[in-house]
Amino acid sequence: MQKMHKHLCLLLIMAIMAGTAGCSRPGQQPPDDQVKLKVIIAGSLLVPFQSLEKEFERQNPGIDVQLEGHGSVQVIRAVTELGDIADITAVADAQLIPLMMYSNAMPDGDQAYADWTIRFSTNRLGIAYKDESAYAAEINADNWHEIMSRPDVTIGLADPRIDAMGYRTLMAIQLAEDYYQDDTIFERTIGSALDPTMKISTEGDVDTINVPEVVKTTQPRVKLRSYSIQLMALLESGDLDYSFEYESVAKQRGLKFLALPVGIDLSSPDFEPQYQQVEVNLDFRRFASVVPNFQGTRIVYGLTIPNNALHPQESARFIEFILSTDGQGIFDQSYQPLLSSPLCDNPQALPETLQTWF
Amino acid sequence: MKDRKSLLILFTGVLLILVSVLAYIQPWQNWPDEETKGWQLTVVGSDGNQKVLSFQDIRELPAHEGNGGFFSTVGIVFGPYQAKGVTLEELCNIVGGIKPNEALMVSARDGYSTVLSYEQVMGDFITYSTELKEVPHQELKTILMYQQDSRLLSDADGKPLRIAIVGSPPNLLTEGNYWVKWVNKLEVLKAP
Repeated sequence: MQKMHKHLCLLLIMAIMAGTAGCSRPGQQPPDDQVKLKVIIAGSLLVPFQSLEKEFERQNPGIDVQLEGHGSVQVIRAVTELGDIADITAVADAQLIPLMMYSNAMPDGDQAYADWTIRFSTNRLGIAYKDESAYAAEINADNWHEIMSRPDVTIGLADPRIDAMGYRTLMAIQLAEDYYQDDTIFERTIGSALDPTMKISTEGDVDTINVPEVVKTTQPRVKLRSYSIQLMALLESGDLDYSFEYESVAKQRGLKFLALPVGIDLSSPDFEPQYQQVEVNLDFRRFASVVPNFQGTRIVYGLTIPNNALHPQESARFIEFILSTDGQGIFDQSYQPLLSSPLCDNPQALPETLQTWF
Repeated sequence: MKDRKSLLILFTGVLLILVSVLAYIQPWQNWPDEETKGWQLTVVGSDGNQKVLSFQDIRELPAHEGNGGFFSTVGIVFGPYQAKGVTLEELCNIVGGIKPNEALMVSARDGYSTVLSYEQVMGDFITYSTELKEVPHQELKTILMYQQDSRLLSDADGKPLRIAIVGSPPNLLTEGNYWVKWVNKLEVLKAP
């Protein structure tokens, strides 16, 4: 009988342990009094922002910066359409903030999601490759389009329907036709390898590249992937010879970077009128809130503090840190150029501590 | 007296085990809530023929189960999951099927949409390992998932219907933009 008792007690203990285990949830942490600053950023900003996070948290132990990376449109949709509460949003195309946040009212009132943008950084488009890439010793800013047309050279294309790098690549290749006075460049490099082909229409000075609903490649020399990050992985593994990429991303990954003439690389304010002579039009609307027509412009990164941010003061402090000498040093180390002086379209609306910067 | 005591301990033990099992499997997670019960999926054929299916209608169609996951724009891996749902091919068949050169537009509650080629509807995707290296695959299926890891989907996972790409070998990943959440419309697009 005593033995039975022992067994029953053991059973009871096991049951209590099982019950306790069933009720607990992994990842639960005791609450702490740190301010959690949620910062949603474009994927190409991840490297400098990870370093910024580390240094800022060291200087501000009461603040825990929590980074989340997406494509730029998704960064803003997370706040305006999917109900995420962000303390800062930072995107690779500064125009998206006024376009998607200024005219969009928050659910419980008339106030817009944001009413100012700080333009803080830029980048340039070029060609990423490795020493082992075919004809790596030959390629230069004059002959890249000829090398990238060769049948034994593999090139990458980010899907222009999904990734901003994709439509910016189309823009750069089309701009190259004007720059080199050669109207076969688009067709030779990528046009001939796509099915259906992308039709290019011209109205006045503007060339419009029309991207169909479904794009497939017909030649193994062109690899189409949804995101440019996949192309970088293919370059690193030697499955690809060349791909367009931002200078910062290529250098952060230790790849070689071929700089293109400024008339093509979407980096210079002086060439804005030329960049505007090309646009990309998608034949379907991926996001209800975004008209799928993208005009060529200089690459400028923008950020804002959404009006429903939980911690606007701490957010302003983090932005001050980005703009500070320490922040500039971090951007330099990440090959991500900051604008020589940041710009704001509505300085009166900025938090007080940031107004002194403009 | 001792017997009664033993019985009480036994009863308490069994009860606690039962509670633990229930807490672990959480069967209520598979009871559709009001939103799910009222969900409607519109399926449109290339000839304009249209059918509206409820969540229950979809659960009554032949189910396909498989394993798969995805990664985001910045390379964050989600899953792999054990997914259960209905193949897109099966759903297209309800409105006359999908032919080569046609495409399928998948739309969602939040205004997001994507277009899948005929080949993608049939499961032709590039697949990746969990280290994001391209790897070969055997059979893949594109499904409209309603159950993930034996549970109905949470809102964050795209409740109640989400596109998933599953197949073999297990633990394959595909590009996340195809895993559309909150799907409410499928439309077969005519060949251009």
